[in-house]
Amino acid sequence: MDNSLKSLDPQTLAKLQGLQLRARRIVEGFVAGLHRSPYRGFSVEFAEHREYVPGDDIRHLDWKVFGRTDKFYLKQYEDETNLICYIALDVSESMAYRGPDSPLSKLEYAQCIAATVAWLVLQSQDAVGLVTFDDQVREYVAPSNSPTRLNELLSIMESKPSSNKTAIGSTFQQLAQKLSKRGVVLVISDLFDEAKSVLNGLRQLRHRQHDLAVLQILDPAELDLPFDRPTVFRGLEGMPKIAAQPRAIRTAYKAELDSFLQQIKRGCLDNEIDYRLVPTDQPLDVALSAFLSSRQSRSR
Amino acid sequence: MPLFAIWSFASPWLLLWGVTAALPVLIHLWSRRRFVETTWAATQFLLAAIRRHQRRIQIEQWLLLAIRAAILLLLAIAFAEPIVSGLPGIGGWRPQPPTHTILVIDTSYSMAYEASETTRLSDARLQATKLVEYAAPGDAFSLVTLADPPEVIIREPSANHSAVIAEINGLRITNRRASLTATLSQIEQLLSAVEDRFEHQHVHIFSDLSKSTWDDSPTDNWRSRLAALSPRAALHLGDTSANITPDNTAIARIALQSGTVVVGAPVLVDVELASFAKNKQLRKRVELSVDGTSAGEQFVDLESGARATANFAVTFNVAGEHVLKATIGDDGLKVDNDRWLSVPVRDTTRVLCIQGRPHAAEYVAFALSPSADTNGIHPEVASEHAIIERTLHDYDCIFLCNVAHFTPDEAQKLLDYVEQGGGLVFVLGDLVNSEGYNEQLGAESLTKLLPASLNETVGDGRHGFNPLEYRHPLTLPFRGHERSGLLTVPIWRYIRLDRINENASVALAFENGDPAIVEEAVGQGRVLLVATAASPESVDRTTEPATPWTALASWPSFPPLIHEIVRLAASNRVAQRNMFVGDLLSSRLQERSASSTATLLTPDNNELPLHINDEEDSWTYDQANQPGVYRLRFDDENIPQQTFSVNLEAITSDASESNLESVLRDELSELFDDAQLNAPPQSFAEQDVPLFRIALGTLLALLVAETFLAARFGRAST
Repeated sequence: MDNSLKSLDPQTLAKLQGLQLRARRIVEGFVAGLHRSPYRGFSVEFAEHREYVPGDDIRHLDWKVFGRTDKFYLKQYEDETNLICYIALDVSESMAYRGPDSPLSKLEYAQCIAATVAWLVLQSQDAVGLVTFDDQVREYVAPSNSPTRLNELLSIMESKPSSNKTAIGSTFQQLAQKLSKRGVVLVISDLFDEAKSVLNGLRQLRHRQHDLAVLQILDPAELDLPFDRPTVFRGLEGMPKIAAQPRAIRTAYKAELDSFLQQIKRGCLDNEIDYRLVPTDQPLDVALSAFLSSRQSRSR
Repeated sequence: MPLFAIWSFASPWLLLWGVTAALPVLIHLWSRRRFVETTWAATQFLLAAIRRHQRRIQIEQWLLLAIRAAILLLLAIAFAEPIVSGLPGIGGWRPQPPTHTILVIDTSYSMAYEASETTRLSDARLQATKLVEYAAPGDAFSLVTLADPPEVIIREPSANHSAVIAEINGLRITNRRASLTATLSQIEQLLSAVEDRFEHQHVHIFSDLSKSTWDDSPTDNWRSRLAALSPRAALHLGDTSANITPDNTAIARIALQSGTVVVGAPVLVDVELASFAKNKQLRKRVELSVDGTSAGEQFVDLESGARATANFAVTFNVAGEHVLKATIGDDGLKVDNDRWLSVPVRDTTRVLCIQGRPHAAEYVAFALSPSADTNGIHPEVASEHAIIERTLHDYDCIFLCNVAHFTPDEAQKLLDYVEQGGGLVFVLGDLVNSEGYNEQLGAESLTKLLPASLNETVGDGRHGFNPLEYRHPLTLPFRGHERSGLLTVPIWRYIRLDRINENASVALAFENGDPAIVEEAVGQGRVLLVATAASPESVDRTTEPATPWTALASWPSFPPLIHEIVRLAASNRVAQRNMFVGDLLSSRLQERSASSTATLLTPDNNELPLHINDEEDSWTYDQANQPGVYRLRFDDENIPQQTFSVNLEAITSDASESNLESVLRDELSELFDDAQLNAPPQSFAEQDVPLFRIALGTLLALLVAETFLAARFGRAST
């Protein structure tokens, strides 16, 4: 199988075939699709009646109802609109980490998810865009619903990780300027930055009315610190070397990490950001299924 | 009490394993040099964790390291079996509240057995001393001797350990047997007295388990009483017998064959040996000395577990107090290798024959001294007035033949005579007023001289004597001499005797079972009561012609019977000078001048001034606990000294302290709480202070702690 397509493993995609990515919020789009628009208009499909109030457009009055009831009701319609999905992929150096028992680095795992999502979005004829970032926006591909765009996206996704650190706060501020149209922004990152900075960055996007979903990708080794022997930890992203007895500091480390994760989770919850922690030993299909299911349930 | 412990190890070379305590440190250092390297993305959390918990982590690391080193060190110490001595408690550590321990130390004379220059009592003292030394401060002790009677040396529990040890070291052999039952009574009292003050009480008995003390007997319930102590106190036994039964030979008895000893008359002395040896002893030497001068030696063959008697003929040439001493060769138990016999020797045996009517006592006097050349017995015949008029103490024996009755003064004087060791023989007859006898001398009277009550006169035909299988010493010489005539004596009348006193014995009976001669020890003397007459002058005048009471006086058996009566009656003259250990020494002084003072010279040559009761001219001494000769001396040289021989109890059976056989300890194991029973005394300390167990216990606790802490500090988390 072509290397670029390994993240599009047919088995994984087959399992996702029945799932539909439904944005939690219906965003305004150009292409009528399968996604409900929050805006009632006069487009295609009747939705419901509403009692007339002064100032309403009388073009939408339902005269048949008036004839029957002698009351003024307006017709409301559900507009079909398209989805714009921005995939923000973290390509900082920390994403290159692969634990001793993990088959994929965090970046490789993230690439698989990003590719799969992109494919799904394009399959539903929605538009998908891609942003790669570390301490700044590295690549930006504007959203498009052209199926031919997929290869371009995959090619960019597969570029080597940078040697820079993650800086979500400043990067997302920069990104917010770029994403002019509202849509779903799927952030795939380990979020290894100050929790406050990360949340600030995410809030920037929320202020722009984007529907945010965050997949935090962590290696199981990062969650458990499973080393027994004395270890020198060579820090990525310019961090120093640390010699430590993992057995001695395991509990403290996990407490620190847990505190960080809790801050991120709570911050996302407060800002109505869909958050999910994905360890890289979790099967891709399970991770995607769980994530998409939760998106579906929230959109209803 | 020493302030610091004296440590020693049963297997000190195993302490080398202690170097393994360095292993955890070495492993720690080595592992630091064996770091593996890995890239790490989540460094920010690692840094934060280390910064925040560095100090705690370091302490935890050192704590674990210290515990692991301590585990290996303790293991090495436990292997080496540590023994600590001379420390109050264990390192001053007190696991329990203060305890009360009753130390019971056997002081019976089998504990004097000596082997390897140490006695069993020394062993017991050593064990008890160690116990006190090992005790924690505040632990209290009482001290009781296992003896008969037991002595409570420390009644109020004492936490002054030095004083307790001093009392233990002051214990001496009591030269008697021990009474476990009596001692248990004392222990029960001591436990009860302090039960509310001490939660834990112990009873430590140190004994050689000799059979005379520990053997079961039907009348002794010591076993059940000991078991009953168990819920109240932990029982421990320290065996000092070293699990061996040594051979021993003892002088069981020394006695004169005659009741009285007179100058110039040879007297036979029996020295009986008892063997408690496993093998037969050939030509065992027995030596007899008189007043410190050898009177000869004999060699006897002694079977294992048997007895043999050596007979010595001794003639005393001077009247006065003499001392015989029998000796056998030394063995491990020296105290029973000598016996003494004090013999008061007179010029003649003086017998006063008082008659109620003429001729009533003449037959007795004639039987005692049938010819003019004296045989050592000098009888005097007198009327009943002699009771008041003469000094009765000058006589060894007094016959009262057919005396009708006695006045209260006469009765009192006769009582004094007997209590001072005189021999009194009542021979009845036709003049005797039974009621008067009973009133003045009977059991209901003040004097209580008679060994039985007098009743009606029996005269219903001819009666003979029944020797009662010759069991009594009076008739024993007649055994095998049936033709002596004792059994053919015709007796037609006698006074029926009944209500025999509890301590009296029937020496000779009539064929119909009525007592004929009854005897009883009274005071230091002896009283005999003969139910019929000793003269043909006593007759039954109701018949025609008058019938004599008996033909006894004319019968061939009469002289030997009278001689035996005198011997028995006067035997207490010797007995009152010969006592057993623990008996009260006393006498009444007949010739003391008012100004003279007396001292008692004990066997260990201590001179004790004696307090003499001026009213009664008597003295007593109740501390005769050492066998040997006690001499009463007066500063007035005209007053002759008195000698008293004090011996160990007579050995009459195997259940003697001289028998060094111990009871089987297994039989006692169920009664005691600890395994010390089967351990040699030397290991007592090790058992009582099981440091290796403490080390193992601590090690176990550290292992658990290490597991717990290691899990808590992160090893178990995955």
